[in-house]
Amino acid sequence: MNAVQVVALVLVAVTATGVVLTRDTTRQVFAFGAYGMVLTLLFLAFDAPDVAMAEAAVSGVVLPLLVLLTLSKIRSGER
Amino acid sequence: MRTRLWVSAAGVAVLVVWLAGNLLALPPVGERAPAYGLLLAELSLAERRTTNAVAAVLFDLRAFDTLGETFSLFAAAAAVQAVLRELSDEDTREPSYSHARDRRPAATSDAVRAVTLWMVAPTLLYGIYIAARGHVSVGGGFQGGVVVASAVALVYLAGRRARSGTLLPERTLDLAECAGVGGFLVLGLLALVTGAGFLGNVLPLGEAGRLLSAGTIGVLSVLVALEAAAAIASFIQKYAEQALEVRQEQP
Repeated sequence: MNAVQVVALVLVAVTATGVVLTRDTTRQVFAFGAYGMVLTLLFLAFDAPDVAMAEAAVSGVVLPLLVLLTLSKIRSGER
Repeated sequence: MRTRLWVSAAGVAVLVVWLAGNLLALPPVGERAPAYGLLLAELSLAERRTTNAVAAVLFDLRAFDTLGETFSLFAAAAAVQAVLRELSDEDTREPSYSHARDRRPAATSDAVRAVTLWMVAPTLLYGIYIAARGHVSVGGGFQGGVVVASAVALVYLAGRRARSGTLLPERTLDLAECAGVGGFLVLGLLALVTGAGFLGNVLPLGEAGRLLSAGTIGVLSVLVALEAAAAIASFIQKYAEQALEVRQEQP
């Protein structure tokens, strides 16, 4: 295992813990986005560029956008 | 309470020991190439003329699994459309400010607009590139499709497009989705007719590394891209519309 792989694994552990410890939903979306980017790095470091690309697109764009839009919808209903 | 804590602690301890034991038993990273992997790398080039072994697995050796995945995306898109359909008592317009006088939707900032607008066309092009070259290099249908759909997301981010109607007509997206999954299925059945086996190769293989090569792998990849792009674009569009939709107040 080389240094990049070790760093990627450690970063995944740190950011995943960060997602769990973030209690505010809006902030959690961004924490999850960061976790996704780190996962992308991890897949890249372990020679899986195809998976890395799918992960980057889904966790970087699609999921945060859908969750943020949902949150904005829910909050617009609050009086 | 105390008992519950002890029981869970015991469970966690067993799990940690078990996982650590298995972790240590794993072969070192990257040192031993599994026989299956080596075989795949050899087969995909020799038998299917594709330089991306992952594509050979996704769209030939395990194409049936990919068909299932494509259909689950199709089903998810259908479910989103069914749940988020426009009801008769809903009104698509800006949220009425009477709901919260102090709350107005923030205008898109100049910084966001400046960054997103010029990114739309390159993103679209990049997505098409990724999808079209899945059988040659890194990427493939799903990845390319999601990148194309994120160009749609960028349009929504760049402006307040949703206020002036939808970006892509729902019917176009539906047709693209049907063409994607339907084409996949038809190509698979076509292989049955020619005697190649379901989703077997029926097209000329060509020369490895060319855009037009690897037989059905490239075609199936583009069909999956069509399905993924249309499904995810419709998710984004439906959600964005929904965020601007308000229920009419009963008089």
